[in-house]
Amino acid sequence: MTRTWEQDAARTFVDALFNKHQHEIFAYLVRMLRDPELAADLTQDAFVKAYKNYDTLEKDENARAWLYQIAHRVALDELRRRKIIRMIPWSGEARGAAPSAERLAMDLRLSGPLERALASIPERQRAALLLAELHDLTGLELAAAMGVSHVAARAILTRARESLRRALAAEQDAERAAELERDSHYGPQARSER
Amino acid sequence: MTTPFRRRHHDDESAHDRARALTATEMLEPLDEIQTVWLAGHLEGCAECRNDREAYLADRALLRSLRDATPEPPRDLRARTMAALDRESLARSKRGRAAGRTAGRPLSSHRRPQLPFGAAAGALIVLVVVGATFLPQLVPNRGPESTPGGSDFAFGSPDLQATAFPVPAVDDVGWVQPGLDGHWELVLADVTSLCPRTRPSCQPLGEDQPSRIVELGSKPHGVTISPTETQLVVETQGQGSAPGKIFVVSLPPEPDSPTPAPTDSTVAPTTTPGETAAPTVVPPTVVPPTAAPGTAEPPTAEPSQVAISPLPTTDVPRGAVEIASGVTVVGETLYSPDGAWLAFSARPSDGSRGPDLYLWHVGEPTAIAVTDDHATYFSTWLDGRILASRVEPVVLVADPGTSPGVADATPEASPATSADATPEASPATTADATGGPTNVGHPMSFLLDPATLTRATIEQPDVWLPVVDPSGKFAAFWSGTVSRATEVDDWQPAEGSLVLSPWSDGTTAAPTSPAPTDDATASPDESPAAAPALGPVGNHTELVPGPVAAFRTNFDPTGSRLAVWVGDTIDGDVGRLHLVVLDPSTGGVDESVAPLPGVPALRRFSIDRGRLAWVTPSGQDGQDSSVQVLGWSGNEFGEMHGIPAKQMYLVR
Repeated sequence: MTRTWEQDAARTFVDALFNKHQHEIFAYLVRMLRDPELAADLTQDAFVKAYKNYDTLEKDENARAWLYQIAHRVALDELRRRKIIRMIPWSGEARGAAPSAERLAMDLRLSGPLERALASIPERQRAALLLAELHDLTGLELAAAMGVSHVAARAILTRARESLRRALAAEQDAERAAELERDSHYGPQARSER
Repeated sequence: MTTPFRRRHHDDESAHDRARALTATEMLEPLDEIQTVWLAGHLEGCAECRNDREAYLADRALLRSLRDATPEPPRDLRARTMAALDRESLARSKRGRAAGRTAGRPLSSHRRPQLPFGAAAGALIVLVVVGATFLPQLVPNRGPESTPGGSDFAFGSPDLQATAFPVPAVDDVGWVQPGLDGHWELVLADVTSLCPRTRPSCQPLGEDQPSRIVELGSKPHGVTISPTETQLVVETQGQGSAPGKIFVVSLPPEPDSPTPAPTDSTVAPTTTPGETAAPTVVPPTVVPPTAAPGTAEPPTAEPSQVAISPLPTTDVPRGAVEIASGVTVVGETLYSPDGAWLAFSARPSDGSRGPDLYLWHVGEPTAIAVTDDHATYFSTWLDGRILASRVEPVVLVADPGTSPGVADATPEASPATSADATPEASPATTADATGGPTNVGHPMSFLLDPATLTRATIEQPDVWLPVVDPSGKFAAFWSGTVSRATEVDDWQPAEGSLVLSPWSDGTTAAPTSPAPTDDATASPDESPAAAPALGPVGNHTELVPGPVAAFRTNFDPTGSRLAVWVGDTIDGDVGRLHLVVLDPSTGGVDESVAPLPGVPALRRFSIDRGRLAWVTPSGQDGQDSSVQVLGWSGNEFGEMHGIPAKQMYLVR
């Protein structure tokens, strides 16, 4: 196989990127998509795309934000596809495999009120929160990763915080309502048993 | 009709919104000193905002608790990713060899960029950004069948749950805003979806739009984009000994394909950005303006004597072309529709003289003054010609037998009778017993061909800064006299009103008058049977009664909407913006629809197909400016509000 010098440089660079950032890119995609198997597939896609588009990286020091930009777009593309095909049930199980232990463990971690609240806010806002708070991107890196201006990135994050706040409040209200309902069903019975 | 001024500001709500935004921003990066002080002061007096802040901090802590459960990638991720990279690498080699054979030369020499690698990579980044800007307009969303490799740089569609009002045919809105590190960002945002006006919460304009970095120097006063989107014209104001400047910055050309090729087809722009359709017209040979029959003596000074030479200075960005220095733009800076010319009026930065009309032929090193009367104001372009106005000061005629100050100042009197109105006469600020120019003047308007500098004079006096609708049948202008401002050598509307009037191009029959409302301002010798002369004909409809300090008007491309901005002060940029709905067949005003009865706005608004855009003035408490858009589909109106920033310049 004959490679050009650009291809060699790109491959070496992307290999190094993978070693350094695979964990955080995978984690980001899991949190965005709530599906570890799909996130693994898309992590792979993201690094292949990084290799294909190596020429678009202007400075090596921006590589992390650039990689997040690619992963972010991969995630949004996937979410958009899901919306388009949302009438067709789709899950990991549809691939013919039983849910793995890893998947079950992840499902447990992704089923708390915070995760539900995160899942209920718009994808771009969710992405901004995750990138800023869990992946420690700076304002400029966040803008680059989301492909928007710095001002716009800050505004998205502001709206995201407000959305999360409302979503968490709704989760709390729902939990409170569920508790009341449980009390109304089991309270009298428990009292009578006593 | 008169468009009333109404205030609909929600300052309190804005302050709370700003506090929330700054609180959220503070959690991402440090605020500047002004923001920090403002936020601290606001939080001190606002319990609700303090609660918001505490809630944000609590949510943040909750979010960060997820770090304890960071998901780990599957063990085979490395192996499968490396295998995928190997496959891709192999595929690229095969494609490269095939391309090399086709081209009859090795792949590497074909792909290796001619530019320095960093420059080529930068150009590609710009292509990505530009492509992403226009992709949503050009390419529908990919379906599930699209391949992952084909959507590398396709931006996602906006969060549709925040918008609900589609506007099928609307032009995008462009502005420049500050980025970090002294850079400026150009944003071209599509507004095909607007919020219903009843919905308080809406996705901010530009939130989904990528921006591109532009070098505009320290602080522009105004920015204009060329019709071909290849240039930005930047105006700066002089400060201290530094002169005001006008310079042109090249923008990267719009790529043919909105997304870069995902494989090895390196597309490095090799051409220098510039106007590709520059006409071959010889730059204008500067000649004194032709005196129209019945007007004052033409200026005697050679315009070339006031042409401005470029001086290399430090505050002009590298690569920019400085086309004028030592001047301040008065009014608008507009490209001709074909992008071949730029016209503006400007006066010396020190205010020693009034404005003259300047033309810049795209590609030439400098702009050239084509008048030297120091009283000519650019209005707009009309069918490839410049529509401009000049002022004839009223002259007091000395009469030893009577008391001084007998002014020949009636509009009916031809300004030609007010002889000796040349700039050399140095208009006096007050009249004396020997007579002389006064602080009152009659505006005269004319059309100017930029290539030949031939003029067509509008005979009717007291037509100031006319703007003609796209059909050429109606015009909005100040009908009345003007007076000299005291602060600077400038003229502003005096007696009269801002009107809408039927218009004649001098060759075809003019339309009938809209609504007979103000006979006093009608042309006195109007005759339906007479061949209409170039200019307003028939009765006027009053839009805004005088006095006004400053104004600007413009029609949308259909001629069914007229935007009217009325300034608070003569040389200030702050005023109120109105949108008037018209019947393009009759030119009549539909008073039952008042979609924008007057909102605070900076002078440079933009009206185009299906939308009106403007920038809100910054508040006295440090509140930032923002771009606002009012869009329409028929008589249904929707809004889009931009993200606040410290300085914003609407370019489209």
